[in-house]
Amino acid sequence: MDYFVSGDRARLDRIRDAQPELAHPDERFMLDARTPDYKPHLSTTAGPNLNSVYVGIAELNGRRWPLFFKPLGGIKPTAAHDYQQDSLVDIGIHEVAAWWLARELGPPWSEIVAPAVWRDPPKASTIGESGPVVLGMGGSAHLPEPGADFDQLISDAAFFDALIGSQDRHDENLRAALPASLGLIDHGYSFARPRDYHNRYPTAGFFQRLRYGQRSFSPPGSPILNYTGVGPLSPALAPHEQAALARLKTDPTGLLGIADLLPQDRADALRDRVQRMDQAQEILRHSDF
Amino acid sequence: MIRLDIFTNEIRPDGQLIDRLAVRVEVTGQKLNVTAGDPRFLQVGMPVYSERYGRLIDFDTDGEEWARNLPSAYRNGAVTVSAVELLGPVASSSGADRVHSAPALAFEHQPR
Repeated sequence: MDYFVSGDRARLDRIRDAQPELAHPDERFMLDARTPDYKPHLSTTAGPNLNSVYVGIAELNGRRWPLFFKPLGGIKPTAAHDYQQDSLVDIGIHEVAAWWLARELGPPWSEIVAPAVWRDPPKASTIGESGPVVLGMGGSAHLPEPGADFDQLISDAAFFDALIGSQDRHDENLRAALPASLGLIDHGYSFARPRDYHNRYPTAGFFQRLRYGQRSFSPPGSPILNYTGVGPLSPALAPHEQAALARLKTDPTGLLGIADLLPQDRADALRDRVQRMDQAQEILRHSDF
Repeated sequence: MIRLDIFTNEIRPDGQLIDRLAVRVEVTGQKLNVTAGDPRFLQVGMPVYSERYGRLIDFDTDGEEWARNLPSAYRNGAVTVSAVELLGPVASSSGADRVHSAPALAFEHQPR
Protein backbone atom coordinates (compact mmCIF):
# COMPACT_ATOMS: atom_id res chain seq x y z
CA MET A 1 0.00 0.00 0.00
CA ASP A 2 1.27 3.44 -0.88
CA TYR A 3 0.53 5.75 2.00
CA PHE A 4 1.79 8.85 0.29
CA VAL A 5 -0.62 11.05 -1.58
CA SER A 6 0.41 14.34 -3.06
CA GLY A 7 2.38 16.38 -0.55
CA ASP A 8 1.85 14.36 2.58
CA ARG A 9 5.47 13.25 2.76
CA ALA A 10 6.58 16.89 2.66
CA ARG A 11 4.09 17.76 5.40
CA LEU A 12 5.33 14.91 7.53
CA ASP A 13 8.95 15.89 7.00
CA ARG A 14 8.16 19.35 8.38
CA ILE A 15 7.17 17.71 11.64
CA ARG A 16 10.19 15.42 11.62
CA ASP A 17 12.51 18.36 10.95
CA ALA A 18 10.96 20.49 13.70
CA GLN A 19 10.94 17.91 16.46
CA PRO A 20 14.57 18.23 17.58
CA GLU A 21 13.92 21.89 18.39
CA LEU A 22 10.55 21.56 20.11
CA ALA A 23 10.62 23.04 23.58
CA HIS A 24 7.31 22.24 25.27
CA PRO A 25 7.94 20.02 28.32
CA ASP A 26 5.40 17.41 27.20
CA GLU A 27 6.94 17.25 23.74
CA ARG A 28 10.42 16.87 25.18
CA PHE A 29 9.14 14.20 27.55
CA MET A 30 7.67 12.18 24.68
CA LEU A 31 10.69 12.69 22.44
CA ASP A 32 13.47 12.28 24.98
CA ALA A 33 12.17 9.51 27.21
CA ARG A 34 13.54 6.08 26.43
CA THR A 35 11.11 4.38 24.05
CA PRO A 36 8.52 2.73 26.24
CA ASP A 37 7.79 -0.95 25.93
CA TYR A 38 4.66 -0.39 23.86
CA LYS A 39 2.06 -3.09 24.26
CA PRO A 40 -1.02 -3.62 22.13
CA HIS A 41 -4.11 -1.84 23.27
CA LEU A 42 -6.28 -3.30 20.61
CA SER A 43 -9.78 -2.97 19.43
CA THR A 44 -10.30 -6.41 18.02
CA THR A 45 -12.80 -7.43 15.41
CA ALA A 46 -14.12 -10.91 14.81
CA GLY A 47 -11.96 -10.78 11.70
CA PRO A 48 -8.43 -9.42 11.43
CA ASN A 49 -7.30 -7.08 14.16
CA LEU A 50 -8.00 -3.46 13.45
CA ASN A 51 -7.28 -0.04 14.80
CA SER A 52 -4.30 -1.00 16.86
CA VAL A 53 -3.23 1.47 19.47
CA TYR A 54 -0.23 0.75 21.64
CA VAL A 55 0.32 1.96 25.15
CA GLY A 56 3.55 2.32 27.05
CA ILE A 57 4.75 4.02 30.19
CA ALA A 58 7.46 6.57 29.46
CA GLU A 59 9.92 7.63 32.11
CA LEU A 60 12.20 10.65 32.13
CA ASN A 61 13.75 12.54 35.00
CA GLY A 62 11.38 11.02 37.53
CA ARG A 63 8.26 11.54 35.49
CA ARG A 64 6.33 8.39 34.56
CA TRP A 65 3.30 8.73 32.35
CA PRO A 66 1.34 6.69 29.76
CA LEU A 67 1.84 7.35 26.06
CA PHE A 68 -0.33 6.05 23.25
CA PHE A 69 1.31 5.15 19.95
CA LYS A 70 -1.00 5.01 16.94
CA PRO A 71 0.80 3.48 13.94
CA LEU A 72 -0.82 4.39 10.64
CA GLY A 73 -1.18 0.73 9.72
CA GLY A 74 -3.97 0.48 12.28
CA ILE A 75 -6.22 2.82 10.34
CA LYS A 76 -8.90 1.21 8.20
CA PRO A 77 -8.61 3.08 4.87
CA THR A 78 -12.16 2.35 3.77
CA ALA A 79 -13.59 3.76 6.99
CA ALA A 80 -11.33 6.81 6.72
CA HIS A 81 -12.51 7.32 3.16
CA ASP A 82 -16.06 7.80 4.40
CA TYR A 83 -14.77 10.77 6.39
CA GLN A 84 -13.09 12.07 3.20
CA GLN A 85 -9.76 11.37 4.89
CA ASP A 86 -7.90 9.60 2.11
CA SER A 87 -4.34 10.16 3.26
CA LEU A 88 -3.45 7.94 6.19
CA VAL A 89 -0.36 10.06 6.75
CA ASP A 90 -2.48 13.20 7.03
CA ILE A 91 -4.75 11.46 9.54
CA GLY A 92 -1.67 10.93 11.69
CA ILE A 93 -0.41 14.43 11.05
CA HIS A 94 -3.74 15.87 12.21
CA GLU A 95 -3.05 14.59 15.72
CA VAL A 96 0.16 16.62 15.77
CA ALA A 97 -1.33 19.62 13.93
CA ALA A 98 -4.19 19.88 16.44
CA TRP A 99 -1.67 19.91 19.26
CA TRP A 100 0.60 22.45 17.54
CA LEU A 101 -2.38 24.74 17.07
CA ALA A 102 -3.33 24.40 20.74
CA ARG A 103 0.26 24.92 21.80
CA GLU A 104 0.56 28.10 19.72
CA LEU A 105 -2.73 29.48 21.01
CA GLY A 106 -1.66 28.75 24.58
CA PRO A 107 -3.92 28.30 27.59
CA PRO A 108 -6.62 27.17 27.96
CA TRP A 109 -6.28 25.06 24.79
CA SER A 110 -2.70 23.99 25.36
CA GLU A 111 -3.91 22.54 28.66
CA ILE A 112 -6.80 20.47 27.33
CA VAL A 113 -5.59 19.22 23.94
CA ALA A 114 -3.52 16.06 24.02
CA PRO A 115 0.12 16.80 23.14
CA ALA A 116 1.34 14.71 20.22
CA VAL A 117 4.64 14.06 18.45
CA TRP A 118 5.60 11.89 15.48
CA ARG A 119 7.37 8.57 15.88
CA ASP A 120 9.27 6.57 13.31
CA PRO A 121 10.28 3.32 15.00
CA PRO A 122 13.98 2.64 14.33
CA LYS A 123 13.35 -0.57 12.44
CA ALA A 124 10.21 0.52 10.62
CA SER A 125 10.15 -0.74 7.06
CA THR A 126 6.92 0.96 5.95
CA ILE A 127 5.18 4.19 6.85
CA GLY A 128 2.40 2.04 8.30
CA GLU A 129 4.65 1.31 11.25
CA SER A 130 5.06 5.02 12.00
CA GLY A 131 2.50 7.33 13.52
CA PRO A 132 1.71 9.84 16.22
CA VAL A 133 2.50 9.35 19.87
CA VAL A 134 -0.06 11.03 22.10
CA LEU A 135 0.35 11.92 25.75
CA GLY A 136 -2.20 10.18 27.95
CA MET A 137 -4.69 12.66 29.35
CA GLY A 138 -6.02 12.12 32.84
CA GLY A 139 -9.42 10.64 33.57
CA SER A 140 -11.54 8.38 31.42
CA ALA A 141 -13.75 8.48 28.35
CA HIS A 142 -16.84 9.89 29.96
CA LEU A 143 -17.83 13.41 30.92
CA PRO A 144 -19.30 13.03 34.41
CA GLU A 145 -23.02 13.78 34.54
CA PRO A 146 -24.67 16.19 35.13
CA GLY A 147 -21.63 18.20 34.13
CA ALA A 148 -21.49 20.79 36.90
CA ASP A 149 -18.16 22.64 37.08
CA PHE A 150 -17.34 21.78 33.47
CA ASP A 151 -18.84 24.96 31.94
CA GLN A 152 -15.60 26.70 31.06
CA LEU A 153 -13.89 23.52 29.90
CA ILE A 154 -16.84 22.69 27.63
CA SER A 155 -16.78 26.21 26.18
CA ASP A 156 -13.06 26.02 25.51
CA ALA A 157 -13.39 22.58 23.94
CA ALA A 158 -16.26 23.73 21.73
CA PHE A 159 -14.24 26.64 20.40
CA PHE A 160 -11.32 24.36 19.61
CA ASP A 161 -13.47 21.74 17.89
CA ALA A 162 -15.14 24.45 15.81
CA LEU A 163 -11.74 25.83 14.88
CA ILE A 164 -10.17 22.54 13.80
CA GLY A 165 -13.29 21.28 12.04
CA SER A 166 -13.64 18.18 14.18
CA GLN A 167 -15.62 15.41 12.50
CA ASP A 168 -15.78 12.90 15.33
CA ARG A 169 -16.03 14.43 18.81
CA HIS A 170 -18.59 12.15 20.41
CA ASP A 171 -19.18 11.66 24.12
CA GLU A 172 -16.45 9.03 24.46
CA ASN A 173 -13.85 10.85 22.40
CA LEU A 174 -12.52 12.71 25.38
CA ARG A 175 -11.06 12.19 28.79
CA ALA A 176 -12.53 13.75 31.87
CA ALA A 177 -12.37 13.46 35.63
CA LEU A 178 -13.55 15.08 38.81
CA PRO A 179 -12.54 17.58 40.14
CA ALA A 180 -13.33 18.96 36.72
CA SER A 181 -10.61 18.27 34.20
CA LEU A 182 -10.92 17.63 30.50
CA GLY A 183 -8.70 16.25 27.77
CA LEU A 184 -9.35 16.39 24.04
CA ILE A 185 -8.04 13.32 22.23
CA ASP A 186 -8.21 11.67 18.84
CA HIS A 187 -7.89 14.37 16.20
CA GLY A 188 -7.29 12.22 13.14
CA TYR A 189 -10.67 13.04 11.68
CA SER A 190 -10.41 16.81 11.84
CA PHE A 191 -9.36 19.77 9.72
CA ALA A 192 -12.38 18.97 7.62
CA ARG A 193 -13.41 20.89 4.53
CA PRO A 194 -16.84 22.31 3.72
CA ARG A 195 -19.40 19.54 3.24
CA ASP A 196 -17.09 16.79 4.51
CA TYR A 197 -18.77 14.03 6.48
CA HIS A 198 -19.51 14.53 10.17
CA ASN A 199 -20.16 11.53 12.38
CA ARG A 200 -23.94 11.25 12.59
CA TYR A 201 -23.96 9.67 16.04
CA PRO A 202 -26.30 11.77 18.23
CA THR A 203 -23.53 12.94 20.55
CA ALA A 204 -21.02 13.77 17.81
CA GLY A 205 -20.25 17.47 17.93
CA PHE A 206 -20.61 17.03 21.66
CA PHE A 207 -19.07 20.21 23.02
CA GLN A 208 -20.40 22.44 20.25
CA ARG A 209 -23.90 21.08 20.88
CA LEU A 210 -23.52 21.74 24.60
CA ARG A 211 -22.33 25.25 23.98
CA TYR A 212 -25.31 25.86 21.71
CA GLY A 213 -27.63 24.81 24.52
CA GLN A 214 -28.24 21.08 24.17
CA ARG A 215 -28.24 19.40 27.58
CA SER A 216 -29.78 16.02 26.91
CA PHE A 217 -28.59 13.37 24.50
CA SER A 218 -30.58 10.29 23.54
CA PRO A 219 -28.30 7.81 21.82
CA PRO A 220 -30.32 4.89 20.48
CA GLY A 221 -30.32 1.90 22.80
CA SER A 222 -28.47 3.75 25.54
CA PRO A 223 -29.55 5.65 28.63
CA ILE A 224 -30.24 9.34 28.14
CA LEU A 225 -27.19 11.45 28.89
CA ASN A 226 -28.15 14.28 31.17
CA TYR A 227 -25.99 17.37 31.36
CA THR A 228 -28.44 19.71 33.04
CA GLY A 229 -25.76 20.59 35.56
CA VAL A 230 -23.96 22.55 32.87
CA GLY A 231 -24.80 26.21 33.25
CA PRO A 232 -26.00 28.48 30.47
CA LEU A 233 -23.39 28.77 27.76
CA SER A 234 -23.30 31.04 24.77
CA PRO A 235 -21.90 30.50 21.32
CA ALA A 236 -20.77 34.14 21.42
CA LEU A 237 -17.00 34.47 21.45
CA ALA A 238 -15.33 35.20 24.75
CA PRO A 239 -12.47 37.74 24.86
CA HIS A 240 -9.79 35.02 24.93
CA GLU A 241 -11.36 33.41 21.87
CA GLN A 242 -11.45 36.74 20.05
CA ALA A 243 -7.78 37.12 20.89
CA ALA A 244 -6.99 33.65 19.55
CA LEU A 245 -8.70 34.40 16.25
CA ALA A 246 -6.92 37.75 16.09
CA ARG A 247 -3.58 35.96 16.44
CA LEU A 248 -4.45 33.59 13.62
CA LYS A 249 -5.56 36.51 11.48
CA THR A 250 -2.18 38.17 11.93
CA ASP A 251 -0.63 35.18 10.16
CA PRO A 252 -3.12 34.29 7.42
CA THR A 253 -0.52 32.51 5.34
CA GLY A 254 1.20 30.40 7.94
CA LEU A 255 -1.61 30.11 10.50
CA LEU A 256 0.99 29.99 13.29
CA GLY A 257 2.84 27.18 11.55
CA ILE A 258 -0.20 24.96 11.06
CA ALA A 259 -0.81 25.71 7.38
CA ASP A 260 2.42 23.92 6.43
CA LEU A 261 1.11 20.74 8.03
CA LEU A 262 -2.12 20.69 6.06
CA PRO A 263 -3.05 20.19 2.41
CA GLN A 264 -3.99 23.45 0.73
CA ASP A 265 -7.73 22.80 0.80
CA ARG A 266 -7.72 21.92 4.52
CA ALA A 267 -5.62 25.00 5.34
CA ASP A 268 -8.03 27.12 3.30
CA ALA A 269 -10.94 25.67 5.25
CA LEU A 270 -9.22 26.53 8.53
CA ARG A 271 -8.64 30.10 7.33
CA ASP A 272 -12.28 30.31 6.34
CA ARG A 273 -13.44 29.10 9.75
CA VAL A 274 -11.26 31.70 11.44
CA GLN A 275 -12.75 34.38 9.20
CA ARG A 276 -16.34 33.27 9.68
CA MET A 277 -16.12 32.95 13.45
CA ASP A 278 -14.45 36.34 13.69
CA GLN A 279 -17.09 37.87 11.49
CA ALA A 280 -20.05 36.29 13.31
CA GLN A 281 -18.43 36.60 16.74
CA GLU A 282 -19.73 33.12 17.44
CA ILE A 283 -18.31 29.62 17.29
CA LEU A 284 -19.49 27.48 14.41
CA ARG A 285 -21.97 24.68 14.91
CA HIS A 286 -20.82 21.09 14.58
CA SER A 287 -20.49 19.95 10.95
CA ASP A 288 -20.17 23.54 9.77
CA PHE A 289 -16.73 23.16 8.29
CA MET B 1 -23.86 -14.32 17.76
CA ILE B 2 -21.32 -11.61 18.42
CA ARG B 3 -20.07 -10.86 21.89
CA LEU B 4 -18.80 -7.34 22.44
CA ASP B 5 -16.53 -6.46 25.31
CA ILE B 6 -16.10 -2.72 25.63
CA PHE B 7 -13.25 -1.57 27.83
CA THR B 8 -12.46 1.90 29.04
CA ASN B 9 -9.34 2.97 30.80
CA GLU B 10 -8.59 5.57 33.37
CA ILE B 11 -5.38 7.48 33.84
CA ARG B 12 -5.12 8.44 37.48
CA PRO B 13 -3.34 11.55 38.75
CA ASP B 14 -0.27 9.46 39.61
CA GLY B 15 -0.06 8.18 36.02
CA GLN B 16 -1.48 4.77 36.76
CA LEU B 17 -3.38 3.36 33.78
CA ILE B 18 -6.22 1.01 34.58
CA ASP B 19 -8.30 -0.85 32.02
CA ARG B 20 -11.68 -2.16 33.01
CA LEU B 21 -14.61 -3.83 31.35
CA ALA B 22 -17.27 -1.15 30.89
CA VAL B 23 -20.00 -3.28 29.31
CA ARG B 24 -20.43 -6.73 27.78
CA VAL B 25 -23.09 -7.30 25.15
CA GLU B 26 -24.30 -10.21 23.05
CA VAL B 27 -25.83 -9.45 19.67
CA THR B 28 -27.89 -12.12 17.93
CA GLY B 29 -29.49 -10.94 14.73
CA GLN B 30 -31.19 -7.70 15.71
CA LYS B 31 -31.39 -8.66 19.38
CA LEU B 32 -29.01 -7.04 21.80
CA ASN B 33 -28.51 -8.29 25.33
CA VAL B 34 -26.38 -6.46 27.88
CA THR B 35 -24.91 -9.19 30.06
CA ALA B 36 -22.60 -7.12 32.24
CA GLY B 37 -21.62 -3.57 33.01
CA ASP B 38 -23.10 -0.19 32.22
CA PRO B 39 -25.08 0.17 28.95
CA ARG B 40 -24.14 3.85 28.94
CA PHE B 41 -20.88 2.80 27.29
CA LEU B 42 -22.60 1.02 24.40
CA GLN B 43 -22.97 3.37 21.44
CA VAL B 44 -25.57 1.51 19.38
CA GLY B 45 -25.99 4.34 16.92
CA MET B 46 -22.28 4.66 16.21
CA PRO B 47 -21.74 4.28 12.46
CA VAL B 48 -19.11 1.69 11.52
CA TYR B 49 -17.70 0.77 8.18
CA SER B 50 -18.70 -2.63 6.84
CA GLU B 51 -16.78 -4.23 4.01
CA ARG B 52 -19.80 -6.39 3.34
CA TYR B 53 -22.04 -3.38 2.77
CA GLY B 54 -19.29 -1.18 1.40
CA ARG B 55 -20.42 1.76 3.50
CA LEU B 56 -21.03 3.01 7.01
CA ILE B 57 -23.82 1.12 8.76
CA ASP B 58 -25.40 1.21 12.19
CA PHE B 59 -27.14 -1.35 14.36
CA ASP B 60 -30.46 -0.92 12.58
CA THR B 61 -28.87 -1.82 9.27
CA ASP B 62 -27.59 -5.19 10.45
CA GLY B 63 -27.04 -5.79 14.14
CA GLU B 64 -24.48 -8.58 13.93
CA GLU B 65 -22.52 -6.97 11.12
CA TRP B 66 -22.48 -3.70 13.05
CA ALA B 67 -21.23 -5.48 16.16
CA ARG B 68 -18.62 -7.37 14.17
CA ASN B 69 -17.15 -4.09 12.94
CA LEU B 70 -17.70 -1.87 15.97
CA PRO B 71 -14.05 -2.13 17.09
CA SER B 72 -13.00 -0.21 13.99
CA ALA B 73 -14.83 2.86 15.31
CA TYR B 74 -12.47 3.28 18.25
CA ARG B 75 -8.90 4.35 17.90
CA ASN B 76 -8.60 6.91 20.63
CA GLY B 77 -6.72 4.97 23.29
CA ALA B 78 -9.50 5.58 25.79
CA VAL B 79 -11.99 2.96 24.59
CA THR B 80 -11.19 -0.47 23.23
CA VAL B 81 -13.67 -2.95 21.87
CA SER B 82 -13.33 -6.66 21.35
CA ALA B 83 -15.78 -8.48 19.07
CA VAL B 84 -15.86 -12.25 19.28
CA GLU B 85 -17.96 -14.42 17.02
CA LEU B 86 -19.68 -17.16 18.97
CA LEU B 87 -21.38 -20.18 17.51
CA GLY B 88 -24.88 -20.92 18.74
CA PRO B 89 -25.30 -23.82 21.18
CA VAL B 90 -26.84 -26.11 18.52
CA ALA B 91 -23.99 -25.64 16.10
CA SER B 92 -21.36 -26.18 18.76
CA SER B 93 -20.38 -29.81 19.14
CA SER B 94 -17.38 -29.41 21.38
CA GLY B 95 -18.80 -27.06 23.92
CA ALA B 96 -15.94 -24.72 23.17
CA ASP B 97 -17.93 -22.19 21.26
CA ARG B 98 -15.42 -19.41 20.79
CA VAL B 99 -14.18 -19.42 17.23
CA HIS B 100 -11.94 -16.43 17.48
CA SER B 101 -9.94 -15.47 20.48
CA ALA B 102 -9.48 -11.89 21.47
CA PRO B 103 -6.40 -10.97 23.45
CA ALA B 104 -6.75 -10.30 27.11
CA LEU B 105 -7.39 -6.62 27.41
CA ALA B 106 -7.77 -6.04 31.09
CA PHE B 107 -4.49 -5.16 32.69
CA GLU B 108 -2.95 -2.54 34.83
CA HIS B 109 0.12 -0.46 34.36
CA GLN B 110 1.46 0.23 37.79
CA PRO B 111 4.15 2.77 38.48
CA ARG B 112 7.07 1.16 40.12
